[in-house]
Amino acid sequence: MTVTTTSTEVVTDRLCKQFGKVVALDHVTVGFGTGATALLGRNGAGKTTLINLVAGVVFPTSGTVSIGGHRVGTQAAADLIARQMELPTTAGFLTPKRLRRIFRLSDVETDRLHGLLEEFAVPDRAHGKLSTGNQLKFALALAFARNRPILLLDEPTAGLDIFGVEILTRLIAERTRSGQATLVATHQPTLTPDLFDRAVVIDQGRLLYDGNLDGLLQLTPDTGEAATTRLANAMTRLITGVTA
Amino acid sequence: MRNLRGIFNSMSPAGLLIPLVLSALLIAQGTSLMTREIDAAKCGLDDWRAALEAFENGAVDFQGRCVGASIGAPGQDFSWVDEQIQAAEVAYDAAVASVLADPWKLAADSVGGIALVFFALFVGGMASGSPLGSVVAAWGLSNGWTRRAWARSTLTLTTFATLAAYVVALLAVMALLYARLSSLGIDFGLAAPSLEALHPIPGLLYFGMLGVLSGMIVGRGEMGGLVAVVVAIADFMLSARFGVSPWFPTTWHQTAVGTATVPMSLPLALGLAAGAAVVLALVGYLFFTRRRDVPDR
Repeated sequence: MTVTTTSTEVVTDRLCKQFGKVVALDHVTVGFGTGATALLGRNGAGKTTLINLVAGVVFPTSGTVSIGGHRVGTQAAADLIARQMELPTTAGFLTPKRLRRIFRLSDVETDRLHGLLEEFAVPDRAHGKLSTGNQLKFALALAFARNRPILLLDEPTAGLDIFGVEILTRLIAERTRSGQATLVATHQPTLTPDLFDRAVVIDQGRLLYDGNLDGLLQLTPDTGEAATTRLANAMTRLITGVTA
Repeated sequence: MRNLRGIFNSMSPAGLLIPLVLSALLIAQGTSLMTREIDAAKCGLDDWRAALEAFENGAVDFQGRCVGASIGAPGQDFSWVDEQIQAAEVAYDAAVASVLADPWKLAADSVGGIALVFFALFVGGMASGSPLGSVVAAWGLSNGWTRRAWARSTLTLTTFATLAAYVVALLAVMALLYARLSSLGIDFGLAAPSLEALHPIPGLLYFGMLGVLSGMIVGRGEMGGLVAVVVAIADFMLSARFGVSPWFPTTWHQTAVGTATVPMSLPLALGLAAGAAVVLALVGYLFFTRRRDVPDR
C-alpha cells in the first residue's frame, strides 16, 4: 500500500457520543495526521470512546469521523487503520493456533508479528495463560504487525515494563519517520514528549487543547524536571484550570 | 471465506458441543420413532406365529412380548389364530409400505422437526454472539474488517452451518433407517430424494436467523443461543395456549414437517417461514451495521 499524506488524516467533526445519560464525548472537532499525536486526559475523559469511534467499533450519537477522506465504516477507511486491543479473559479459549487463524485473516504480517513477539519477549503460550503485561505486549506486537498508515494505541504503557517502553518508543518513532500516523491515548504520560508532534487533551468529553506539544508544555514553567513530568503537570494544569 | 473462518474460530468449541450433543440425542430418538410402527407390527406378527406354534404343540396359554392368547382348554379350536396372523401380516405390510412410500420425507421431518431446531438456534446465536463477547469483533472492526462484511459473514456462516448440518443429519438418518430395514429383512430399493425432503429448510433457516439476531442483541455466545431457544419455546407455548394458529412462526415449521394441522396450506407455511427468515436476517444485518456498539472490553 502506498502511503500518502491524505491517507493518514483522521478528522472528527462535532463528534458526540452518549451512553444512556452519560455524555462520553461532547462535540469534539479534532484532526490528526502524519506523525505521533498524544491523546491526553484523565480516566474516563473520553479517550477510549474517541478511539472506538475512529475505529468504527461504536457509533456516534451525532457528528462524523473521516479517515483518509473516507467515511468511517467503509472498507477504504478500514484498510487504513490498525489498533492495539487486548483480548479479555472471556477469550481464554482462544488458543495460539486459533488466534493465528483469526489474525491471519486481517492481513497481519506474520513474519513481522513473530519478530515483534520475540523482541517483546512474549512467551509462546495460550493467550489466557500470559501475564497482564505480556498480554499487552502481544496486543502491541499485533497492532504494529499490521503496519497500517494509521495506528491507534490505547494506554500502551499501562503495565508495560521499561524494556517494553523502549521498544514501543522506537516503533512509534519509526512510524513517524516513515510518514505514518500514530495516535497514543494515555492518562499518564510515560513516553518521552519528544516522540510526539502534537497533543490533544480532552476532559469530561470536551476538547481542551489541540495543537503542538510545545504549546501545551508552555502552560507550565520549565523548572528542569523530567520532560514527562512537565507534560503531566501541563496536562493537570489545563484540566484543573490552573495556569502558570 | 476468510471472514467465515475468523468467525468460526471465535466460537468456543465447548459451546458448540451443546447443540451438537443435544441434536445428536434428538436425532437418535427420532430415528427409533421412525420405525416404531414397523417394530410394533413385527412384534405382533412374530407373537401370533409363536402362539400358533405353541397351541399346535399342546399349549393352552401363550404370552409373548406384544400378544397374550388362550384357547381355554386342551383340544379347543384355535383356527382363529390364523386370522390374527393374516391381520398382523396386513398391518406389518402397511407399516412397511408407509415407511417406504417416502423415506426421505420421513427422515427429513424427523431431522428437521425438532432435532436441528436447537442446532440452528444455538449456531446462529453463537456465530453472532461469540465474536462480540470475546471482543474478536471489536478487534476485527478496528483492524480492517467492516461491519457489513461481519454481518454478511455471520448470516452466511449460520446459513451454511444449518444447511450442512441438515444434509449430514438427513443422510445419516437415511443410512440408519436403511440399516434398520435391512436388519428386519425388508426388501427395498434406494429411493431418490423427494422434494418433500426440503420442507424443513425454511423453518430451520428461520430459527438460525432468530439465533443470529439474539446473539447480536445479547452479545454473548452461548447466551445468545439460549435466549433464542427461550424465544422459540415461548412461541411454541403461546401457540399451544391460544390454540395452534397460523400466527406463530413455530406453527409454520410444524405445518411444514407435518406435526401440526392448521387452516393454512403447505406452500403458505413454507413461504411464511422463509419470509420470516429473510426478515430476521435483514433486521440483524441492519441492527449490526447501523446501531450495534461493539464491546471492546
